[in-house]
Amino acid sequence: MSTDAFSPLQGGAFLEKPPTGTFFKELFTADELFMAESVQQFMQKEVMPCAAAMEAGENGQMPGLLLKAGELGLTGAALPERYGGLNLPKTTQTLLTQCTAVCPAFAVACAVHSGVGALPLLLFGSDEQKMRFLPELAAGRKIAAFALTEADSGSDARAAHTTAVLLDEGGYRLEGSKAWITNGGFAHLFTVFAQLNGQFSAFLVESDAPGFARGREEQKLGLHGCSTRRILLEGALAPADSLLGEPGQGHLPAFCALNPGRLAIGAIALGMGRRALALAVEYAKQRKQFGRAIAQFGLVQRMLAQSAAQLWLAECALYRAAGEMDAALLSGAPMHLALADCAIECAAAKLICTETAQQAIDACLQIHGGYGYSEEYAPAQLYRDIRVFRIFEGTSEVVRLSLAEAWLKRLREGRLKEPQKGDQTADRLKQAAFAALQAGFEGFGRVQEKQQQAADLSDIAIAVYALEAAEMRSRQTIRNRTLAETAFQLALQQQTMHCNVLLQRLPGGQRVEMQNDLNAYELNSTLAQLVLENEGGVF
Amino acid sequence: MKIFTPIKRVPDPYAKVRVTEEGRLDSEDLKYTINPFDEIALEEALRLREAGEETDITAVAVGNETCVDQLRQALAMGADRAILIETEAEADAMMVSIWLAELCRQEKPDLVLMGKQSTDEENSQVGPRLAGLLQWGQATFASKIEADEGAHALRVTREVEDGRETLQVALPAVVTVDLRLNEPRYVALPAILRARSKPLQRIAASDLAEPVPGIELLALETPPPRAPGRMAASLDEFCSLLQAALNAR
Repeated sequence: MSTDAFSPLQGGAFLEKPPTGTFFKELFTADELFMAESVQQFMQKEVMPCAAAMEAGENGQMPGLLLKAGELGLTGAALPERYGGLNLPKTTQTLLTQCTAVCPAFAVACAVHSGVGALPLLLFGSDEQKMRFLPELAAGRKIAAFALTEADSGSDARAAHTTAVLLDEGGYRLEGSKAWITNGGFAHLFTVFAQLNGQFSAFLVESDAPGFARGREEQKLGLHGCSTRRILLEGALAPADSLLGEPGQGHLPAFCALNPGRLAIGAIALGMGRRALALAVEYAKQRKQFGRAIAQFGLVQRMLAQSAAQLWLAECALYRAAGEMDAALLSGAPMHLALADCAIECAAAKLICTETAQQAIDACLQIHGGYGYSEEYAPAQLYRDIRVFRIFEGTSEVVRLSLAEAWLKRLREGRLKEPQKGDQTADRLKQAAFAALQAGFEGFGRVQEKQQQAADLSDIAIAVYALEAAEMRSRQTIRNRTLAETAFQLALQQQTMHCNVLLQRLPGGQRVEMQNDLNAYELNSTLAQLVLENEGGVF
Repeated sequence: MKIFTPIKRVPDPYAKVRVTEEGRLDSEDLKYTINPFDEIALEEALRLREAGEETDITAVAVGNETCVDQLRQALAMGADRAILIETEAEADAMMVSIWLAELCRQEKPDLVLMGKQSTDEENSQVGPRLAGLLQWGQATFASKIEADEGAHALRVTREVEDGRETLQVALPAVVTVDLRLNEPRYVALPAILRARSKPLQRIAASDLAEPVPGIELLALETPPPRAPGRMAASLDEFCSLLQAALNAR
């Protein structure tokens, strides 16, 4: 993405400087928590009664639910007040999004609508375009979708084949098709990316445009309640004022909106992972084998403890990223630059939340044994639904590479420097990763030919980001202090071990010392006990 | 109609409570909420307003600064203003009733609508005591409330042991509400933001009255864990187990 013209911001600063603070859940005010409660009640009273029918493929109910979410204020949470939104901080938005995860199909539909659906317009629309559409989107009366991907261009989005031609009589004619469009079955407004005279550009296309058609519902592995379709543009006519931003600048709305989108996807995944842990705890307590609840068995405890520690770590990273995005937005920089600057942080949050949630859901299914494999129990659907989170809004592989790429680029341009010395595990990991980066990428060059090394270095950076957040939180948090500290110690051990494996194989990499000598077996069962006492939640 | 809805800050009824070594409630990790019965009362006040009655709703809490969270919540639900009767005292039901009564004498509401009990102490005392102190009519355990048009009274249905009882109660009155009266709404997010700027007045409890505590909380204890039950293989075995248990008493 174009990053010219901005340097005052601090994206990726954690790779150089020691942490100075983080946002964590205990900092939410009473009314922010009350908002979260409202969203939970909304989910229980309005959405969950429709969840089974939607899972069965009847997504005719989704537009009505999004309209109700508009009445609640959820769909406008990110938008400014002048468009009927609430202009909530990213931290609060993240909390509310996490609360919607109890119905992943709804959560994704809502997040796509108010995130990548509405944000390109907010960031790059003219005043007229914004006044025309944003109030409708904020209220949920019109639904938005993001049409970037094509059958042949996914991760390589700028290679899109869809074309737009400026017509003599004014307006544009669009030709091509877009694939995997969330909300495709009912959305009214599409941000469509197309080549205008060979220049990658963005257009606002309404569903009633002549030549616009929707494809069939895709038969997906999961998220059955969520509409995913192709969009067919067969000479679709878009009016003269449908160009979003400047011609040739389509990459800006595409990539700037992706960062908050990644946070939202991370938040939903985390919510799903947390639900899986709660389900696993509940089941492990009541399922008896060999005369005992299986929660008493060491191997079940280990699964619970590891899920809990990793989820806790992921949560710390997610809210740190949300807090840093709020700080960037308040820095006075133009909004799209502020959002673009958070690329590394959002990549870290997305990756750790989605990968962790997948593992926690897998463990939950495993603890359920044969019942976990049955569609009659909750884990099976969670297992299907979570899988796409490692694919959409950037596959895990692309996210890792984009993080490494951004790190290298910032080093190359002098916007980031060698990490400062420190004696925490995170500091040493940073230094070790930097040494390997220097050894492996001469002049901090590009990642293409060294994807494996780049991805390993990203993993270390993500571990550092999360561990720092977790360390700061476990020092400050009041609620469930023992649980927080135990989760931190276990996560620290696991992450150090994992990073050491990576450092051992990276050219120029050197292992770092394990900082605590706590017995891993005991740590697992201590944390499992605490998690069982707390019903799997509340940290 | 001017309605007062007293609300009590209570531990979340679904939270696991712990007792400290000093025999007090361990509040450190505890989540607090509006007493669910009071929330139902507030919801009913909102419904009376929505039914067309011109209504001014004031949420009132007794306690320290922490109660502001619950008052803001009441404002977000739709109360017009809030009053905090400030005290650090561990107030018993009588003290709370005396303060509320004094406030009612000053503010002259037509109706005090509140929960039949609080979920923390389950005393069911404040409503009836308040009505007694004010010498107002009262209807307790309401499961249905209708405004009696023109009569300046309410028709209140109560669920009693052998059916339903309908009372007409003249205003001003105290009405305490039961669980089945209504289901409180979830609050729209903009209302939560607006509640930040609604009026919230603080009155020192000692400026209203200086009641003497009648009840002192000596200690709290966690009940011992219940011994696990036993499955009887047959009705006969069940009967003999039951007989043995009764004989052991």
